[in-house]
Amino acid sequence: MDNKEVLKIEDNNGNITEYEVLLAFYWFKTKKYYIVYTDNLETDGALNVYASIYYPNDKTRLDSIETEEEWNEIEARLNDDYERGDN
Amino acid sequence: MDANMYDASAELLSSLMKVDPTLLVNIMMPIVVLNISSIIASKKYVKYKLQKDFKPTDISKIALPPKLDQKYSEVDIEKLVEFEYLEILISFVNYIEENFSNCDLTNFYNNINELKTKEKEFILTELLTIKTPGGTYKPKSNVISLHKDLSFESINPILFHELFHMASSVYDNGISYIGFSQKNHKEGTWSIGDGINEGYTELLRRRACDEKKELTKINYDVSVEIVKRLEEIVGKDRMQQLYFKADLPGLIKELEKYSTEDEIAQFISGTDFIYNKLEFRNIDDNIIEMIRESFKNVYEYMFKALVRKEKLNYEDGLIDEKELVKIIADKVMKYEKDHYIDYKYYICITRDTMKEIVKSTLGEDFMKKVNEENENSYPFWGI
Repeated sequence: MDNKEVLKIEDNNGNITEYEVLLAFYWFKTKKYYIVYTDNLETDGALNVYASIYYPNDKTRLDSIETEEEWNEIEARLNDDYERGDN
Repeated sequence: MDANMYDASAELLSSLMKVDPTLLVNIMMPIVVLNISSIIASKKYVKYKLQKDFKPTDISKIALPPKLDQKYSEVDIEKLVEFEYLEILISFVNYIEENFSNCDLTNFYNNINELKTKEKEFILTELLTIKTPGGTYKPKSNVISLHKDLSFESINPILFHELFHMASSVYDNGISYIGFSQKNHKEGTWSIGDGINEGYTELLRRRACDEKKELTKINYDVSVEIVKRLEEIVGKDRMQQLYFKADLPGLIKELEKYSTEDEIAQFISGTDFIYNKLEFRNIDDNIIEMIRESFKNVYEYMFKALVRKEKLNYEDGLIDEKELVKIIADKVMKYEKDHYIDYKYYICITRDTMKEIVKSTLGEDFMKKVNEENENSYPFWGI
């Protein structure tokens, strides 16, 4: 069974990039939805992982992570399943 | 839910070979373990690098995975005006919105605004099972089917039960994710997690409705008893969250804190077997023996997980030794369980078994403290 979940981002030129979703969660502290995803490519032997803020009912928007506290929370949740490479 | 025929091969073997029933449970286990392994395939221990400078720009649109994609953020009553049992539906909507966190209700909002109902007869299920099903919910079509001859008093509890299924379901790429169950329609139809899911759905339904309006299904009662204990291990809020998000992998991950993958597989396999078998007509002695074995395995697993959880709480300093003794003593006193179903007696777990589990997990000396605690609280407990 293929359980991979996919995030697709289409730009204004119609180009679609697909990412595999690793993790998604709602954080009560910030009241935001976070999505963590990968293009399954590597840099220096480590998987590229990206994170954004998403809005469940706005299909045109992905915001950047702004604070170190948010990055720390994302890393903490990722580290349950993944080993951190050199950041 | 429709009757599940996935264990038909086990029943055939039983009647042909009269083998040791426990071997048959082990034959089914690899299917469950295989599916659990694929469910938790994200556990990769792969090195990663967070690309903090990456900022998607020039976005025209994004497509989220179905489980995250919220088409609606509120109930649109205009869409539901044609619904046959509108009053019951509104009552359900109010209950859900008052009692559960909005961020967990993506599936609920996605499904409710396009929900349909119809009446049907359940001819095959009526032939095979003791009780007639009142209704079903299908995530792919987002339809609740109700039995055409429902009594007036039974409509509310049955519809609430199916609405909870609706509120916790999503269909994606040939797989129905319904609360804690998953049904794969692509590969010859297998399913996993029915026992836990039906039990938890019914538990939530009973909490929402007048308790006197019980749905009289034997396998519901049995499954509700199991999931009440499961909820003690996982935590009520977390379990509800995972349920509405249709997150069986999340539930498995919670249980992994206190048990191995094999133990979890056997637990899920056992609850499915109990749920699916108890309502069939004319079950033979081998199947009855397998149900007995499954009850034993399921309850022993849950008690072990609970003891391990409290042990971890103690080791992490969340509780002191006195509190640990009191908690375990209380559990040993109250956790004993058996069922009397259809003139057959099923022992789920005894105090002697619990004492052995406590001894092996926490030691002989600790068990002595538990005994002392219970002698003080319950003077006749040793008799």
